[in-house]
Amino acid sequence: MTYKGDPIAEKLDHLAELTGIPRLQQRFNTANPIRFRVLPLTLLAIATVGLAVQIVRPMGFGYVIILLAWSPTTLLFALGPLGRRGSRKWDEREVAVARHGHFIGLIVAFGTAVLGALAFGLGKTGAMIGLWDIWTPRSGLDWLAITFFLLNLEANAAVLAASNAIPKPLEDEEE
Amino acid sequence: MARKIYNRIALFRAEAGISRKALADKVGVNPQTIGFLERGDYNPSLELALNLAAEFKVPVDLLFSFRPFPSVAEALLGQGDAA
Repeated sequence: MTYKGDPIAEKLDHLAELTGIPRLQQRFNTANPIRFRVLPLTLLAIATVGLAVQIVRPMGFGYVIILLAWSPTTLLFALGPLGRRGSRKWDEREVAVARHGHFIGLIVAFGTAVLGALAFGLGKTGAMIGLWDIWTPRSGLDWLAITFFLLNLEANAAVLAASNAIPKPLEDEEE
Repeated sequence: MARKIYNRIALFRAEAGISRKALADKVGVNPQTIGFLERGDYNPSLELALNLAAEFKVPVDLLFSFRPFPSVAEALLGQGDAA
């Protein structure tokens, strides 16, 4: 709806309407969340490849790959069941879905972090006594890669779990 | 695992002639939540159940039950037999 009253404001408002952004924003605010399945798994796979590349070639290529997976992950967050739309508050079901999603996401990320720390610890110990030499983070980029990998893991696992907790909407539910 | 709760929200909503969105606005939830409730995909909190019952001006046990509700035809036939 365009503004009425001040001619300059009216023209600016009309110009904004022509861009289509207000319509898009309205659609985004009222649309139901998208249930993601394949995309979070794909982004997780990309982040895993990134971490593997960072381990094999610690020049920062792996870190960049992980960051490439992180950008679309934030978009999935906004469009999926964990994204807030408009100014409307979440109802009890939406809160329950978000809590469930983040619970699963945090469990997965925490579990991976614990296993990773254990592997690093065993790796260092093994290297000290000359048994084996498991990769451990050395540079700041290594730590950044691990941090963003865990963030990717939490976010994508949360989106997957939350999407799984939402049944498919009926055709006539878009009233 | 939570027990399945049956409800007659769709029936009461149809009788009242209101859309899911209108009912959702009245009880303060997302219209999608009303759809999930009607399909039995989501069990409401006590607060939401009481709000819905108050909206239709019926006791909460007329709207929600652990046992499936008889269909309208069965209920009407039952009334006819009793008369």
